[in-house]
Amino acid sequence: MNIVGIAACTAGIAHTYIAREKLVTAAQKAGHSIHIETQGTIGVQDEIPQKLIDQADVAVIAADVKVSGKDRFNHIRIIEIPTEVVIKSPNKFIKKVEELMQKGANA
Amino acid sequence: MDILNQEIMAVNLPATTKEEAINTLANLLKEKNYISDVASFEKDIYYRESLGQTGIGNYIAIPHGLSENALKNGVAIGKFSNEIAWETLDGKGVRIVCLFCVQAGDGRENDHLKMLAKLAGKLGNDEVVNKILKADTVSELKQAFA
Repeated sequence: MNIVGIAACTAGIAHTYIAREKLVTAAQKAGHSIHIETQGTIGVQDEIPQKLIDQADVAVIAADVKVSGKDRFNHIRIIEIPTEVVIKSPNKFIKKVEELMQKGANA
Repeated sequence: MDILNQEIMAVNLPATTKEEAINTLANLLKEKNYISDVASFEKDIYYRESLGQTGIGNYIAIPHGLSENALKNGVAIGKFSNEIAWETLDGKGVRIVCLFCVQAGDGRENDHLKMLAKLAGKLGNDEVVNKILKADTVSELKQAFA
């Protein structure tokens, strides 16, 4: 799968970046391509290139606050989740994404 | 990583409660001139604590907050001799506390904050976490993040 997404937490200092690291590691381990943008106190980092958005199968938003630019994912399925969940069980979460995408069920 | 300063890192710290642990590290930050006042800095830390769990699992906690009281950005890292009860994602206690000290205000384009973000990201890496858990000295603790 080609996954794109955003990580953002309450303070925008730490959880955002831990969530990004966990998501990227878990997705790559499962054989997926992934690009996660962070929206923290320092602003946007690792902004998702348009090309990856066009190619993406699914968007994952790991956030505890409102993120900006969600409309970029209007053409694909969006899965939203609190940062705590991806920090706690990143592999389980990626598996869940796989299942959801296989089922093709609508959110 | 430049953001890591061994002066605000310590191992074999005694503490039985979360409050003691935070207080120990806040005092260390005060001693090294990272903050101007322990009590008001702690208030900002506990405000963030009230918003959600900072125990990220694997015996690590990352209390943090934006504080008007912070004179510079940094992270105090303490390894405690015994497990401390903490609100954590995996229900375990905490042995390593990374207390983020971040200046309030417009943080955009701030190099220190970018380094802190990078450091936080490393805490999401299992290999780094294993090294941190094994570290017995301050220098090993710093090396774990390299």
